[in-house]
Amino acid sequence: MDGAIAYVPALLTLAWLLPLASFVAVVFLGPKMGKEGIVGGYVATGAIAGSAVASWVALVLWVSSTTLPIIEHHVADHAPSAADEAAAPAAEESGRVKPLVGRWYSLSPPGLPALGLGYYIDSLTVLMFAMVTLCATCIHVYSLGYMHEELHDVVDHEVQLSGKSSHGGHGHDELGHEAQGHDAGGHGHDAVHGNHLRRPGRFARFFQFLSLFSFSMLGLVIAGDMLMVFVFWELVGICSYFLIGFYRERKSASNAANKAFIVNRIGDFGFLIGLTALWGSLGTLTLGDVKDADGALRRGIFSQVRAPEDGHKLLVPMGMIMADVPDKEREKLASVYGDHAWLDSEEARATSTMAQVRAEAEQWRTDPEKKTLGYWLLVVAGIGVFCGCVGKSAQFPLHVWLPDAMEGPTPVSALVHSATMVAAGVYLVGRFFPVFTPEVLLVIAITGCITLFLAATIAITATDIKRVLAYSTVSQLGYMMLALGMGGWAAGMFHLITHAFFKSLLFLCSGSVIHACHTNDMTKMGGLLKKMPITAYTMLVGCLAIAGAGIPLVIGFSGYYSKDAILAQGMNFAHENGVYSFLLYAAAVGAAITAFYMFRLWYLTFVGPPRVKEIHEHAHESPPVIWWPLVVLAFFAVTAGWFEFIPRLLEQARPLGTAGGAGEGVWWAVKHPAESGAYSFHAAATMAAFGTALAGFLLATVLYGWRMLSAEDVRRQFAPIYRLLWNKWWFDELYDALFVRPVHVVSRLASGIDKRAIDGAIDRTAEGVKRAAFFDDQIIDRLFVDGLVNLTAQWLYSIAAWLRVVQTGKVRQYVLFIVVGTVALFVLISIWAGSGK
Amino acid sequence: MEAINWHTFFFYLFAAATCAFAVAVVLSSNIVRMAFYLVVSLGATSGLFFLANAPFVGAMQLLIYVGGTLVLLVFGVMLTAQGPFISMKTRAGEWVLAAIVGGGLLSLLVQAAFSVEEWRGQRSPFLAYASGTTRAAAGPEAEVTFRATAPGNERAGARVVLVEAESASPVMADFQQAADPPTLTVQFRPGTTAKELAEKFSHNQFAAQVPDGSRGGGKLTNGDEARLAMRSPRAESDAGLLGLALLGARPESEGQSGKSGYLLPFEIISVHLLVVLVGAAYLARPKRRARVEGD
Amino acid sequence: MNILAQPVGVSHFMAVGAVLFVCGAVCMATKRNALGVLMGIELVLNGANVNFVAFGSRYLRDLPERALDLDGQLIALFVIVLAAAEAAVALAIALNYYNNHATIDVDRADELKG
Repeated sequence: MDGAIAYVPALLTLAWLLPLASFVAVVFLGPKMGKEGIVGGYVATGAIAGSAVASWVALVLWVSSTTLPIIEHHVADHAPSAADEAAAPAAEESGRVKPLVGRWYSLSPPGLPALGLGYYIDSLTVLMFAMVTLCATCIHVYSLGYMHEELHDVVDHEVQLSGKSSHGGHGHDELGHEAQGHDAGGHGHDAVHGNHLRRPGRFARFFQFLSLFSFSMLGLVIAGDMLMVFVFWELVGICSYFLIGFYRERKSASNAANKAFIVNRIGDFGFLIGLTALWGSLGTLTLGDVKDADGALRRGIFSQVRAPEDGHKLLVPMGMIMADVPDKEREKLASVYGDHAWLDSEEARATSTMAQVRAEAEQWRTDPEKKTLGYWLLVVAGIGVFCGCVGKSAQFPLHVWLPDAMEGPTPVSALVHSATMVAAGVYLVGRFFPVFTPEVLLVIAITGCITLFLAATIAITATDIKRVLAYSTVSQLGYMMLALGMGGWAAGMFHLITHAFFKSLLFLCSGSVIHACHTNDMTKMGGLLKKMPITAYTMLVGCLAIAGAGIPLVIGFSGYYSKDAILAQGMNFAHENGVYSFLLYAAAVGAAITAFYMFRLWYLTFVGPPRVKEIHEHAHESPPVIWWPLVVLAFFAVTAGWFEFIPRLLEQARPLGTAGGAGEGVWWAVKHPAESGAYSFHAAATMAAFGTALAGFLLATVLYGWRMLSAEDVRRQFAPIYRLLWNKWWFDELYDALFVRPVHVVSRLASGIDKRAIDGAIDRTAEGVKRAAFFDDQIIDRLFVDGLVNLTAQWLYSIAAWLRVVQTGKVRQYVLFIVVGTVALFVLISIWAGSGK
Repeated sequence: MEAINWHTFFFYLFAAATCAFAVAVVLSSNIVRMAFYLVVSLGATSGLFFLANAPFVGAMQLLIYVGGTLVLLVFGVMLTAQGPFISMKTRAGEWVLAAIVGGGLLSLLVQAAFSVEEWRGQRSPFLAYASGTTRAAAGPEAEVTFRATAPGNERAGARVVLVEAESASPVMADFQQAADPPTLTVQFRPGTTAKELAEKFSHNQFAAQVPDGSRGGGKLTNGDEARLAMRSPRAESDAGLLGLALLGARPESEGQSGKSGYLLPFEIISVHLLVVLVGAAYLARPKRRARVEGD
Repeated sequence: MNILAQPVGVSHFMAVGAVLFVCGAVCMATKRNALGVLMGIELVLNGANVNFVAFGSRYLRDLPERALDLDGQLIALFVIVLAAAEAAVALAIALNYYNNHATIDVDRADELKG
């Protein structure tokens, strides 16, 4: 190890702790810092800038003291030959840089299962630090300008204290700015200003949360212990809760904050289960191998699951096999002595057969016949950890919180959506990649696939500029999950980094637009190109980057490279697993949709005639403190993918044993090919990415740029689909019906039982008899008898009404029905035939 | 730079014309122009038929389609002309819907077209020769090992077809390396005439000839030079063959059974045509009676 | 790789057939003129014909004895004949429809609407 690299942990620790220092300072001294805490903002910005400097110095040190591996470009045949397999570990040895692992503090005495605070630093950590601190610094600087109005008393026009006077034009406003009556009594210092709430500014508080947020994210990245990951994981969650609910007087904002927090709890529940499975079976939560206080090397999760003596192959660790051993013992004893209660006694435990079974267990580990022993525990651990990531990274079915998180101030959205909150989930999947079995990876891939498609389609219809970006984030996160799930570790992580740059750019641009227009609604914008050219062109850069624009095979924006890598790995995966090739198709269609809605957003906002005159006349370019971060981020959005720098750097951190592919599934027939094989699909993937992006771009241009076809007309044609997408696939309603209402019903029932229990016994009996009669009437008579009859009639009516719709009497539509039917039949048969193989 | 395969060149020429004018038919909104584009597209399709070695079908395509059906269509256009100002514009939504559905179908079909490797015709069989020397084998059998030569085509990857008589099925063999030609060993009784050996190789159009010139006076003996020449796989198709096939006679398919003629379907089609003509005349007739009653 | 030097196969013909077929289907789906729909049908039939002829041709295949042979061409001929007949009938129907409705717009012919 080179000398300079030894400074990296210290530098990163400094970068990590600086925001904490700023947080502590602002918490205690914030209101006293200058007028309305303006100095607090500078302190926080300075701290994060300092940690950015430290991180970038660490990055430079890292790069200068390690050699960047050359990415192997296998152009040869697709089937992994024996030579390939043999070459893979060798390449791994040469390219990988050993992670720096250490422990600051150990919570347990030596010899016992270890818990502690430690770090695990490899090139991924360093890259994440550089990316997170850079984005966060830009966002901090931007917030200095954007949150300016918090410096003095704020009149919140979204909050109405009394009366129901209507805001014009809120009919289509998806933000849900319900004019909720708000009782000012709870906040003694709040004063009533006309009809609206008037409150002191919270400039310093905003920056204090931003600091805490950055600290938590950096801690999550540097953490070398799953327990520490979990702690910072929750800290990130609580920070997002604070920041999403920053305008806490608004009902919608506090609802959104609650929603984000509660939805994340569901995911974290799974995370806890996964951690418990690991802790219970492996006896450790550290990632890397750490020396104990007594000097003994203690194996971390990674080297227990992929032990060096097994050639880093994924084998079920002993601890997990032991979970299945008692069953095996019972089987064996029962076959010798017959099945008796005796089997459970202490005496039985001492029998030689028992010892024999335990001794044998050691060999089961590498026995291919016994491959499934304890395997379920490994899968549970993987799925559990992934559950946490589903919540945090807003994957289907827990994606509902992210769009609502738009209630926070725009810089927060940028931070949540690019560098911190949602990146945490993807980062953890990437970090935990070696522990995931192929089955878990397949679940990840399918989840990502559903998410990317779902969110992309919803983004088509959204008219709130931030909401389009929010769904775009969900969709891009789905891309990353899909890439990881298909074995494209470097592709997924690469996209995480590039996406952070262009997504924070896009959000900050949208913030600049909102700052100028004072509305989120794109249908009220238009023609802003002349008014705010810097914002418009930096946003164009962001759109091009996210759409993956570039000259095929020559050069492109950052998104061009990362999306290309994902599609190539998708083709690689589909080539091995024909049954799951729908993952690839969904990704390709998703790419087209991405290009479409991003350019729809740009055209609606910046070109065309201004739709609302007052807004257009009011608009002006934002001050330099706002547009400078845009320029910086735009620079990175363009160049982040160049020279294969990031993929090569990531190659150093590729988890041991995964370079030759994640292996084959034990339960399901799925085989993850090596990522190096993706290069042979590189040209095809580039063409597919370019073609789909171009298709989306052209459609958006035809509809919104040139306005050759009327978008209104298209919407009418696809009215049912439009309604489905406008209502976000009715997920909120579905969850409302599935979870919220039943809980309401159950709790109401519980409260009813409560009240009745207090009543006197006789009273209760009488009441009970009365109620029984009432229920009889309600349930048996009205609900069952009447309901059944009505339901049958209703069903028949609705089926008939539905069938009637199909009979349009239009010859041309019948043609389309035939074609769609044919295609559907073909697809169904090919899936059926494909799975039969 | 490899030499241009002119067949391929003309294929792409005609294919481009066919597809371009078919797309033009879709995009045009003027019915007369549509008819014109359709003529060109169908004409180019007949060119494709010629290239696929189906000259008769190509000729029929030109005669019936371009000559007959389209004239009929143009008549229809003239008879139903509504003046230039009545526009029957298609709505934007329908265009988008049709484009999406059509794009889906197209990607499916094209993917299906290229999914079978044998259909891609990347390696068309070459006219191959094989030569070898007879020699005695153990027992009453003698054998000759033919080494394939394909003059001018021995490059690696070229494909020759050797026909094995016993199974009457062709053995595909590739030139892996020019120095190592594929071989086929055939066993025969000594005393077999060259003609008999040649007959063993008769399979479809892959008829093989073993030249008479052996020392044994027409019989093959040890040390004879035997050569096989295979006919080009190019089928000679003309109206005469088609006509015979219609009647159920297949001059070249001795080994194949189960293929029958099309005489009955042909008759049914004829009657069908007649009925159609009568029906069309009936449908399109002016409604005289109605007018008489109206007067 | 120079595509002009490579021999073409059945696949290439099928791709042309697919384009013709899809053009025909889209034509049928978008044209409101009955004769436009008719032209779409002609295109669809031609797309099918290209496939038949291509499958019939020995010249295009790696394994010539698997070709449909003359059957492909015969079926293509039948299709041509049927297309001619169909065009005649459809034209008659179109003329009759025009006589009755004074228009040739197929969207107006929705009496069978459910």
